[in-house]
Amino acid sequence: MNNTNISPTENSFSKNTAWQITKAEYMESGHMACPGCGAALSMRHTLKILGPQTIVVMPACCWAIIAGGQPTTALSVPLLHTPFAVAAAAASGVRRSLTAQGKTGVEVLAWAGDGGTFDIGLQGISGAAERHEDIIYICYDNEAYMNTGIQQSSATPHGAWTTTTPGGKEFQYAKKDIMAIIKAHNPSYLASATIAYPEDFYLKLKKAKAASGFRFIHLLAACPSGWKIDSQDALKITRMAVDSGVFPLLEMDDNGLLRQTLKPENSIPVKDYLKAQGRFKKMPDLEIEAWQKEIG
Amino acid sequence: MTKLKHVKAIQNGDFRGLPISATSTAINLTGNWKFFRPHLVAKDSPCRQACPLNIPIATYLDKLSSGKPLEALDLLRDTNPMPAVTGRVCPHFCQSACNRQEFDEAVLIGDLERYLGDLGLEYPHPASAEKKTEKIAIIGAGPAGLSAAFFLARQGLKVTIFEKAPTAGGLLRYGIPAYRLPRSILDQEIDNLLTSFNIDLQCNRNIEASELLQLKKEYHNIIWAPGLQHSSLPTPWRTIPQIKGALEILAAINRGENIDGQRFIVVGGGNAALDTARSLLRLGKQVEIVYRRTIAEMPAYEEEKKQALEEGLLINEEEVVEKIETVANTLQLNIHQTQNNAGRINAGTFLKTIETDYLIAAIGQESDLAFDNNDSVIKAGDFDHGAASVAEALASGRRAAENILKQLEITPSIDVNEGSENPVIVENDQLHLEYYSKKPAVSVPELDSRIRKENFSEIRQALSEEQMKSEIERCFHCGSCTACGICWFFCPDVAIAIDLEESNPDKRVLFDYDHCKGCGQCAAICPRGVIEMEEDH
Repeated sequence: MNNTNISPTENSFSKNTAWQITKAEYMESGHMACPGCGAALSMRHTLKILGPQTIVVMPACCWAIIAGGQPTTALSVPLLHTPFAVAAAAASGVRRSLTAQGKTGVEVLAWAGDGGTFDIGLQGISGAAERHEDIIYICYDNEAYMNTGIQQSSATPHGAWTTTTPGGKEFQYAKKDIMAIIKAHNPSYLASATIAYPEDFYLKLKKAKAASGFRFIHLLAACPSGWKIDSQDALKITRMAVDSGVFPLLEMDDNGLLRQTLKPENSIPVKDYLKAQGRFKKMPDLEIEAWQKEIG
Repeated sequence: MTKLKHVKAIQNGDFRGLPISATSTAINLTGNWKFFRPHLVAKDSPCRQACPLNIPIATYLDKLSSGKPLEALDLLRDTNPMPAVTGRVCPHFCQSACNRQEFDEAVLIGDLERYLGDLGLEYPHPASAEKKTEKIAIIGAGPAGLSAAFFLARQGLKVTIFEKAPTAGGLLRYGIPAYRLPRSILDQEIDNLLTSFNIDLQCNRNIEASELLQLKKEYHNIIWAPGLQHSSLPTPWRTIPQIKGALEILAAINRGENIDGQRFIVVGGGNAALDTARSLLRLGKQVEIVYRRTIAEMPAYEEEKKQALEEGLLINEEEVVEKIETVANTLQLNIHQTQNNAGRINAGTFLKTIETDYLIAAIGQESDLAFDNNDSVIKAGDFDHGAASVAEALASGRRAAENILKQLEITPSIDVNEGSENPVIVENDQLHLEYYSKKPAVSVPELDSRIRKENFSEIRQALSEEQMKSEIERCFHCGSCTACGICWFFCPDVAIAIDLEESNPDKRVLFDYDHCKGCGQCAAICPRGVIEMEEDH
């Protein structure tokens, strides 16, 4: 494999020529992700940044399927599948066993969906964060239990359709504020990002790699089937999530405050983002307006 | 890409009881899932479409941006015999069609062309095809004649040009002022063209139309491109000695002759009017323009209008010379306000009287050459299609040459229409510019108007190498793959490879159809609009 680096220029697609992308791939073709999967693309670039010396720990989530059934694997780095609730705990164990063997220079990456982070794995994350375990925890958030059939999670935004969200106002819940929850644990690095803003994504992943201790990154990853969008629009709509302010790109600074790292050049109304997706088709205008007010 | 890969980490371990996977998912041919598949569709850029010479702008700029200026120059000169000239004097039809206009500002294609053209002055044109025996005569060494000579001689034909004037260039030399086209550049460009292909130029040779039949016995074919020799004058004006045609005055100035008189009124709003007025200004004369419509409506190139106003040229808009009287060697002009009646311009109320030494008419051009339409001669240039831009004259010369090649059943060694036989033009809405940011065009320095109106020095300066690089980055390369890699970057299936070394833009992106699931994100993100989805069978 040709491992030379590519420097995107203004002529290609970057706004900043200071970043480089390796040509080396640590994710294989032939994986089981749906066409246009934002989680697959996010993993591909995460591994490009973290490099071959990475061990991935993964609970039940879309990626547990994407990675392929026995005897295949979609990653050319070691990957440990774990039960749903224990990604952070298992990753802590992997790190401690490496330390016990005196092995350094290895990244331990816990890679979980929103179900395994916001709902089922939350206690494990809390524990690992409390102990300042030296791991990177990445939640790729596609805002529902997608691979099992689009069931609602506590990351599903208010107003979105899922197969298990009953009609009626009383069953509509706001998305859990995972950034605030993790921030309260005082992690050594905390950020939100999306591959649709690749430069910001690369800078944050590199910062996380350079740091040590408990690091948490919240990625928004489009799910064409669960969001009811065309697979070719996945990137565009993920960008719209940022441009509308629904998914701000944040990073925790030295004072422990979350600040926005990228102010969109063209901000758009929340309504444009919501109406571009089938899952928000039935959301009443009044609620959209309320959401807009909340964002400002 | 489909080769199996084994995970090294597990090779030596004891994993009894634990299920281990060590085979790459690449054995899954997930390409079977797709209904649509991406493919590259090379398209034409609007700039190329707008160019009379059909220059493949997006492609040669791509070569220039990848640090291959000589390859870019070759591509440019495949279609354009004199880029150092057109880079300066062409109104840049390409820039008016540029897709970047709607994003921020058009790319300065003209200045980039000039950059390459100036580089080309030091490099001979590539050698011609195999020498052939057929001889062609060309009447007129203006842009059309020189262009025809270039495209014929490049195919190995023996070309002789007959020129009435003592030097070649035609309108380029006698019509266009040196501040727009320095004579040293023109001389070098023509010399390079003549010597590269061994074209025989015979100056001071006036060929009358009546001699053509005789000439035909000696030459296989003849191209008639004498241009337009005179400015048209309204009949009542022809008898007044103080009224001159713009072309005649321009030619006299460009020959370095002394110009009588101090006060001049130029009537007209085209390039000839402005060229004459601005040249006279540089000779220290008092000049005013009288034009019957507004400055905005003047057909002269916008850049010329802007520069003329900067130089302080007085333009009397919506005025007309209604009556002329000769009083003791000077002219008394009655100037009237014009009225625009639904597009028709009529003289209105009397405005003022102007006294002047000369009145210059720049209201059209004509030829006084007797010429019988005869089939044995191919017409080209302004004589054929009327006064037009230099690029159009070059294109006309090329068409004449192509006609002759066709008659002789010679297939041109270079296909000037390559890639645009059945052009699909990339419109603005087919471009995906999410990952571009606004960046205005570089500012090209021009000589200060106070200094430049004292002399004939070139006004617009050349791009520095740095400016060239900065400007070329602004080109979207509409319809032409540059191997930028954005499709590769955003492919969730690792099913795209980029061949950075491939010179053919249509082959730079390699799709792995065994694994491509047909999501279409590459097509939705391609900035140049060259990736399209087609049904997968």
